[in-house]
Amino acid sequence: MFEQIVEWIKQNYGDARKIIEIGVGHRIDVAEQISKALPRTEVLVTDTNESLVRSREIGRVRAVTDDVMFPTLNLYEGASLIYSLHPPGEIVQALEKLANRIGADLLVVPISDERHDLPQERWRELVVRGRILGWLLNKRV
Amino acid sequence: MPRPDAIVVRLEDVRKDDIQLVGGKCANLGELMAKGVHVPPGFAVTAEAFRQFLEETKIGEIIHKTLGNSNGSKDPKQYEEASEEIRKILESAPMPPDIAGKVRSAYRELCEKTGDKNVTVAVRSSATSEDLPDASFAGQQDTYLNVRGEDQLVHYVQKCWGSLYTPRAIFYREEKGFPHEKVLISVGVQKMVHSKSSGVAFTLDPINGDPSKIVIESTWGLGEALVAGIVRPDRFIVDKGTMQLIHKEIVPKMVEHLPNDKTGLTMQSEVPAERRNVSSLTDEEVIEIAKTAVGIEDHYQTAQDIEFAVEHGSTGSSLYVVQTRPETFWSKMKGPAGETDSHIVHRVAVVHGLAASPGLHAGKAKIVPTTAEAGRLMKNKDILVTRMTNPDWVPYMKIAGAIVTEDGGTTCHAAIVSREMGIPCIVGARNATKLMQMGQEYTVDAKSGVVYNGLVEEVLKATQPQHEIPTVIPITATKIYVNISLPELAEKVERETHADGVGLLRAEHMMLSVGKHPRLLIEEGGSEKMVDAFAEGVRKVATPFAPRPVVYRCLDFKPDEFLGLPGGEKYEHEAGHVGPNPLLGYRGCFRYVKEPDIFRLECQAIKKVREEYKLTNVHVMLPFVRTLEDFRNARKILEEEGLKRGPDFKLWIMVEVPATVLLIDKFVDEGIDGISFGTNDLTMLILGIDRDDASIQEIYDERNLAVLRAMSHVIRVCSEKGVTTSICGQAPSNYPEVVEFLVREGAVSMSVNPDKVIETKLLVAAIEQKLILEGMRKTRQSNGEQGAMQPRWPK
Repeated sequence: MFEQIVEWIKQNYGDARKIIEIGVGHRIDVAEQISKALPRTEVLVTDTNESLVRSREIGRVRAVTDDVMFPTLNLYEGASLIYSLHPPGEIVQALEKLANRIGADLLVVPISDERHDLPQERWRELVVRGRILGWLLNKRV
Repeated sequence: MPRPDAIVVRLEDVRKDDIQLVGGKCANLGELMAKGVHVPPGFAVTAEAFRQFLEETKIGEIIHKTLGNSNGSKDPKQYEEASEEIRKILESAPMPPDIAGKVRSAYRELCEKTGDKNVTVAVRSSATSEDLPDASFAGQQDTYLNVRGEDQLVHYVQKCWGSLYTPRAIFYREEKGFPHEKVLISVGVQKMVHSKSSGVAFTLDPINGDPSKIVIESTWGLGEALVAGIVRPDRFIVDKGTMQLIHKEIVPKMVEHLPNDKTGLTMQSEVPAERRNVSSLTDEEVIEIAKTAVGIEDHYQTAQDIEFAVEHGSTGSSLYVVQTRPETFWSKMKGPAGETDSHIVHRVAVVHGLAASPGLHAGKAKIVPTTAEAGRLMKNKDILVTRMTNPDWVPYMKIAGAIVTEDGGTTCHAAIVSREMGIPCIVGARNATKLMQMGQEYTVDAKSGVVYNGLVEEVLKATQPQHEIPTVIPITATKIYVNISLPELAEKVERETHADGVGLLRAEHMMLSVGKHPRLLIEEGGSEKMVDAFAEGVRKVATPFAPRPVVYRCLDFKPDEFLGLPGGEKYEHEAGHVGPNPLLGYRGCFRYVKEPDIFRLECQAIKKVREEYKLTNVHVMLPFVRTLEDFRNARKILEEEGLKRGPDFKLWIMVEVPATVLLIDKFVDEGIDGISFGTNDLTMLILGIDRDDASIQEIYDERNLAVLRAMSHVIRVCSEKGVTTSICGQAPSNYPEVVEFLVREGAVSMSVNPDKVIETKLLVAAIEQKLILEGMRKTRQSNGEQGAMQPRWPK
């Protein structure tokens, strides 16, 4: 379901050195697709749940345990984009803070129920073919 | 020492200083051999051979010309085109006879040495600027396994030369600033190990950089499948200090990679059933690998990532190191949370665990199994050592200088609370209560998760709690509830907001945590897993808020949102549930009636929380109710599962669909205890706006008069009939005027996001006071006290 997001990242972050997915949960396929689409970019995924991270297969995408509420900053340094798919509303502020601290763009794809929680004055809609796919912060047009 | 113009060099003759000639990989292997590490015998085709090849065939010039065209460009296509062209030229050019002759003769020598006249070899590129501490890029150049015979070898050596020019390698060199013409490539040729099993050993924990662990991953057969990420490996963790195996995780291994004798290549085959669930390494092999890994790390004085293979022979198993390289990810970061203090490196580590709240503290340990003992023994700045904490421990955690628990992970109670308080904390420190001594001094390094004997001079400054709570939070007549998505944070939210309850506990993130489509779970016999996970999530929220109400809203994923879960494709797409607009599709109450077995699992979870955990403050809310019939049917299922309305169990519905607004009196008559407005969907449906359609979002406004009228109607009908009213959409968080509207209309409560609770309470308090004042004025006016509010001084 996130094919369009992968495509958009591919189009917009072709020269990114590092892209990070926060709160990867049980699925790593989106990060892997991004890594395949952008073979020169380091794609990293994080989650607070250590056993989830440990269950990841060793592949092209590196999985690391970290809590975005208390981030290990040097993990994120140099990232052009951090993104989170279906993050619980409670971590969005921490995502914002982190993105601002490291100067990265932030893409958030909330579940539909939490979409309207993002303050509209700071967030920009990510629109592809007329549909809203997610919300962006810092992204320069 | 090999001659600088050598074409072929035996591995045992090279050392680390020969990097320019044989590349980092081969130089490392030679160095390891010299150190006595068991490395498969072989030789290197030198960088000089490659240079001569380029020169004699004159294709060096063509290559650099082609590269020149793509230099500095950021267009990936140009890199790809250049790469394709170069590789074609490189691989098709005949190898000059003198070079080929030397390669062939080295191969024959290897055949003799191994006693196999057609020995199979692994051919790997070994770039002269690869594998340096700051330049590792796993898989950057190619590896060819199971190569047999002189002709094949020559062919694959050339293929390896070509691998220096993959688009990724070209880009990488530009990125790191290595000039292309300076980067030559050597090729390592080694006897293939007939691996029983193989894998990778890291001399630090690759997921958190913990240098006190050795993490070993292994699988059956060749290591190719593991490095490429095709199989999930068995995983072993060895403590570096004690060399004890502290963690073992054996997973089913369905496929393995084996040499294919017919094609001479490798093939993927199914692991026989009897070996699938068996550990791919014995405990003894794990320890042997760990010891070898530490030896290699000591030798290089930096963390390593080591590929190994275990071969079964007539005399038992032998371990081979196939490759080693510096671990670049964490070593660049110098540890999990900043620099490690060099002066504590040599101290005696007593226990290890997971660094849950970073910091460093030295003090006396108090081993306290119960809060009663903590109360008796804990003094300010002591190290609290126990099995696990719970909310009863908070007073002792507050005075602790550091916390060490035997159980738990990054999201356990001790971890969350200590981070909040800024107290260094290590969780999951096995046997800490046994290994640490009462009253003895220790240094807790909660940056790397280690407790050392004795004191360390430097102690990190204590960090201040980040959130400041206003000293006076007003009590309001209108209850201010909070919306919660992540149960793990409920305790923190409760502590920080003092909300009057939870007006919306979302189930969607619990489902994401379970990690599978519920239908798939049921088919796999995992229903209980879902019930337990949901019950645990709800318990985590209901406990800190008890006895205040917690309203659990049943799962309301839109069908497309289920697609993210394994099984989603089959049970949503293929089942025909994903319509053109999922927001208007197969969702909400309708779904519970259509697939009652899934809904029943949610009901059972709630029942478990209410009955087993005695948390009777948990109530249920049905989302997206469209018709009376759906409501009746869903309520019937709830009742069948033992959730019947009564004095201490309330059933709410969400008002999101205009039909519910128009028929609210009928719903009240049917039997509901409360309603909550979902303004996002209500606005969408009243105004006829597709929330996903970017072109019409400018009309979207929860303050539209039609939406306000709808809410006003519902509140009035409910108030008359004694049904509680609330709102859990985003409108009150975004618009103060909506808050005032709801208070004036008589909404009983409103539920907002955690960061808005205190703000909303202050706002509601002000509005309520205004209303009281207005009421007083009106009363006085109606009592004829016209001048009551006039100045009292004489006219």
